Amino acid sequence: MRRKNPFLLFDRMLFLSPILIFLIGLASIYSASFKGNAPLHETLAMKQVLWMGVGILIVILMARIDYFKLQDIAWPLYALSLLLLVLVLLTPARLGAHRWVRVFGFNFQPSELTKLSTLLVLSRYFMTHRIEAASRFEMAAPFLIVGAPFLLILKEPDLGTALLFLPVFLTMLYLWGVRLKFIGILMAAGLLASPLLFHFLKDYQKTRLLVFMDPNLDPLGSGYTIIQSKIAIGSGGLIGKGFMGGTQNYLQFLPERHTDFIFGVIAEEGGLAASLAILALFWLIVQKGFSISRSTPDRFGSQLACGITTLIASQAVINLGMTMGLLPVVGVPLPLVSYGGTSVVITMIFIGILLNIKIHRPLF
Amino acid sequence: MSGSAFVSPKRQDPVGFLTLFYLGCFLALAFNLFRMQILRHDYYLGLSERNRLRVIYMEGPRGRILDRRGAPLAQNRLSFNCAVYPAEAKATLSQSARALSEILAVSPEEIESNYRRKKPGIFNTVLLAEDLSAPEAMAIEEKLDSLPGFMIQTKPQREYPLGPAAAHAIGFIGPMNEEEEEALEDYGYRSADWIGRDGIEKSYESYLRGASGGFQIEVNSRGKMIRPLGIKEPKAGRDIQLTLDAALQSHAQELLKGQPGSIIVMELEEGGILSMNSFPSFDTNLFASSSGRKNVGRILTDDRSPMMNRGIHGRYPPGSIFKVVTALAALESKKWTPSTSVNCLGLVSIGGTVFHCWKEAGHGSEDLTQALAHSCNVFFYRAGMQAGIEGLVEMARALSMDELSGVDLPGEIKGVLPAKEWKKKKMSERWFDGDTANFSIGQGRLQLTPIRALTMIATLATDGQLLKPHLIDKIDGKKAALKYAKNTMLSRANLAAVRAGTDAVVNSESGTGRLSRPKTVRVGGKTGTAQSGQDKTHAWFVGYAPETKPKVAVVVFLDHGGRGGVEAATLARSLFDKLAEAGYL
Repeated sequence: MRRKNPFLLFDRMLFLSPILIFLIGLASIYSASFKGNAPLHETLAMKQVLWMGVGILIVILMARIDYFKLQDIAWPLYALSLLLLVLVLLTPARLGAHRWVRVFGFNFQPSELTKLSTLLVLSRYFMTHRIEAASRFEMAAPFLIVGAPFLLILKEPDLGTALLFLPVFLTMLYLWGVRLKFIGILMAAGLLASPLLFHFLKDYQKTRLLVFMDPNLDPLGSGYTIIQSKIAIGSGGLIGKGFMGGTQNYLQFLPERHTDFIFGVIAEEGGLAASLAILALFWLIVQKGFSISRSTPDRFGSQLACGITTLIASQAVINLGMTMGLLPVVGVPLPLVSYGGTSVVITMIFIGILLNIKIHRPLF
Repeated sequence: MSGSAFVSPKRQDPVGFLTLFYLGCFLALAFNLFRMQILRHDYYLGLSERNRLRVIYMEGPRGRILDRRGAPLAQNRLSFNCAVYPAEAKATLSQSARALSEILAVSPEEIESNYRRKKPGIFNTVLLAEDLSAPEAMAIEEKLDSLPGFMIQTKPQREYPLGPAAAHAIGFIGPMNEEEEEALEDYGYRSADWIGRDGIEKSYESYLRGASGGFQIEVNSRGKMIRPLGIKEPKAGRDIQLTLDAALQSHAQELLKGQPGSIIVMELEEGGILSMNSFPSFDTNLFASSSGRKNVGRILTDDRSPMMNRGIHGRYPPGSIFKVVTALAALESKKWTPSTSVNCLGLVSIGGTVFHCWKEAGHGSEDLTQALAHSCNVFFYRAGMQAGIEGLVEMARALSMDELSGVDLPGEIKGVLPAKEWKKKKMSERWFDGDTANFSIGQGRLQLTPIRALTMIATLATDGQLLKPHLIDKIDGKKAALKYAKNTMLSRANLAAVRAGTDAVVNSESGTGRLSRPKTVRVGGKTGTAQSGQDKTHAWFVGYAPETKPKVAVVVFLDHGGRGGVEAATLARSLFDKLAEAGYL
C-alpha cells in the first residue's frame, strides 16, 4: 500500500539541513572570494545561489516521482556517464586535468553524474541478484561496474572523486551480504596494491601524498596548504573572528579557500560554533539517510539510500579530515559548501532521492 | 556454487553498524575541532596573529640570451623594491613615511597614499617603491630597524642591451594573462611570473625560464627572521647563444634608420641568421619593466606597426627578384636553354593584352644572362608563358615558397602563390594568360615574406640546398642547432646558368644591381622593384657573397622604399662592405 499525500511524509529536517549547510557555505564563499569592488551579481557566491536554485527545484520535482522509476534510467544513465567520461578525456585539458565538458555554455563535470549513475546501477544490481544465489560471474560483476568509472576518473586525473567510489562500494557490498572478513581482505589487497597505483599518479598527486606524511617536505606547495589550513582552523577559537574577519582568509594565506579548503574559512571566521554546526547538520543528514535505508523494505531503495548516505558522509569526513591535516590532501570538495555547480546540483539530487524514498517506500 | 565463503549469515542490522561507524568518525572530527580550536587555540592564534610564518619567494634568474661571440642580447640586472607588511607597519606608518621620504626624495604624503592605494599582494606585502637605485636601497636597508614592517626585496630585472636594434628577433617578456595562468599553473608557474611574449624569449621560454624557489621562515613580531623552516633552492634558467652578431645587427639597424623595411643576413654553412632587422622598431626594455609598461600604449597603437617583424610577419609582392624562379622554371621545362634569346621591343601582346617592359625602347635581343642583368620584363613574360603557370608554381613549390621557412621565431606567415585554384576560390574567376605573365615577373597577387626571398637566393647560391634558417646556436654551451637542409634536386647546370645572370646583375656595367657592388668582394644578386598599389614602389635586393664560393646570403626589403636597383642595392653595398670588414666573406 502507498500513501496518498506525499507531503505528509516529506522530511522537513532532511530538506532544511542541506539548505542551512549551503547558506553557511555561501557566506564563506562570498568571504573567501571577496574582491573589494566587484558587484554582487558577479561574485562566485551569486553563481552558487543560481545552482542551488536549480538544486532545490530538482528536489521538489523529485519528491513527486516514485523512486522506483529510477531503476529504468539506471543503465542508460550509466552508459551516458561512461561515454561522457571517455569524451572528457578527449577534450583539451583545463587547469591541467580533463574534468570538465562544456554543455550549453556551462562547465559540467561528468564525474559527478557518474556518482549518481553508478549508485543507481549498483542498487539495481544488488536488488535483482540475491547474493545467496549469485554465480561467480555475478559476484564479480559489481567490481566491473565500479571499476570502469573508477579507472576513467583516475585517468582525468581526479584522485579524490575516484577514491570516493571505494567506501561507497564496500558499504554496498556489505549491505548486499558480503562477509566483513572478505571486505577486510579487499581493503588489505587495495592497500597492498596502492604502491602500484601510486606509480600511475601524476607528480603533484604523489607530492601531496608524501607531504601528508611530512608537511615539511614541500613547505611552499602542498605542505603549505596543510599548515595554513590548520592555522586557520585553530585560530578561529570558540566563536571565530567574525564574518569577513579571518586574517588567514583575506590576507590570502589559505590557498584553494573557496573550493577544497573552504572549511578553513568557516572555522576561522565562525569558530568552533560554526564548525560544530556544520558537523551537526551533516550528521543529521547522515543519520536520517541511514535510518531511511534501514526502514526501507525493498532492496533497491535500501541500497540506494545507504549508498547515497555513505557517499555524502565519506565526502564530509574526508574533506574535513583533510583540512584538519588528519588525512592526505586528495582533493575532495565539501558537499554543498565548496564552490562548484555540478557538485551542488548532484548533491541536491541525492537529497531529493532520499526524501523520495522516504515518501514512496512501500509499507507493509 | 554460491560463493558461500563470502556470504555472511543473516545479519541483524547492517545499517546500524554503518551508522555507528560514521558516528565514530564524526565524533572524532568534533573532538579534533575542540582540540584545535579550544585547547590549542592560543598556539594557532599566535601563529596567525603575529603572522609568524612567511614564505619568501626567490625567483630563479632567467637564462641570458647571447650573440655568437657571447655579447649579451638579454640579461638580468638586480632591481631593488621597497615593500611593506601592512600589519606591522600600520602603527608607525607616518613616522616611517617621513624617514623614508628623506631617502627617496618623495613627500611622506605620497608614500602614505601609495600605501593606501595598493592592495596587499600575495603573502601580505605591499609594494611601495619599485626599481630603487643601489644607494637608496642601501640607505633604507641600514634604517630598517626604525622602519617596522618595511623591507627591501630584490628582483631580477630583464634588460635588452641592444634595445630597438634587435627588438623583433629577441622579443621581450611580460605578465601572463588569466588563461595562461591557468594553463601554466601545473608547470610550476606562479601568477606573478613573467613569460616570453615574442621573439627568442617566447620560442625558447622553456629553456630560458628559471624555477622559482623560496624559503619559509618564522619571524618575530617585528618581522625579523627567527629561524628558517624549509628551503627550496631556485634554479637558474639556461643561457642561450644565438647565431646573431650583435655588432652586425646594430649596424644593419642603423642602415634601415628612417626607412620601414627588413634586412636578414644568413650564413650558408648551416643556415644561421647573422642579423635580422626590421624597422620601425621599439624599445623592448619598456616592456620588460612594470614601470615601463605604462608607456607602451603608444607603441601598440602606432599605425606604422613597429612591433611587426617585416622579415617574417609581412608578405609583399616580390617583383623582379622572382625572375630567378621564372628563369629556373623555363630551364627546367627543357624548352629553353641558357642561350635561348628573346628580342625585346619594349612590349609584347599576351592573351590580347599588351604588356610593357620597364624600358620603353626595349632591350633588343638578349639571352638569359643579359635578361637577368637588365631585368627585362619581355624576356620573362615569354619565359613564364613557356613554363606555364603549372611550371612556375611547381618551381616555387620546389623552393618551398608555399611553406613556412621554419625559422625559430613565433608568428611566421606564409606567402601567397596565386595559381588557378586559388583564383577560382578567392575571386571566382578563371586564370588568364595575363595572370601568368604577371606571375612571371613577380607581380599580380603573388606575395613573399622577405625570409622566403632570402631562402630562394640562398638555394641558388648553394647549388640547390634549401637551408632552414635559425637563430639558435647553443643552449647552455651545448650545440642546439642541427643543420637542416633539403636538397631541391634542381639541375646544377640550370642553377649555374641563373647564377651567371645574378652575377651579371651586379658585375656587368649595365646590370640593374651595380650599385650594390662592394669595395673588395665580388657578389651576386637580383634587384626587384614591385608595385605596391601606392605611389612609391617596394624595393628589393637579394644577394649572396662571395660570388664564387658564397658564404652568406642577404635580403634587403624596403617597404615603399623606392627602386630595388637604387635604394635597396645601395643599402646592400654598405651591408656587404660591413660583412667583408667583419670577416664573414
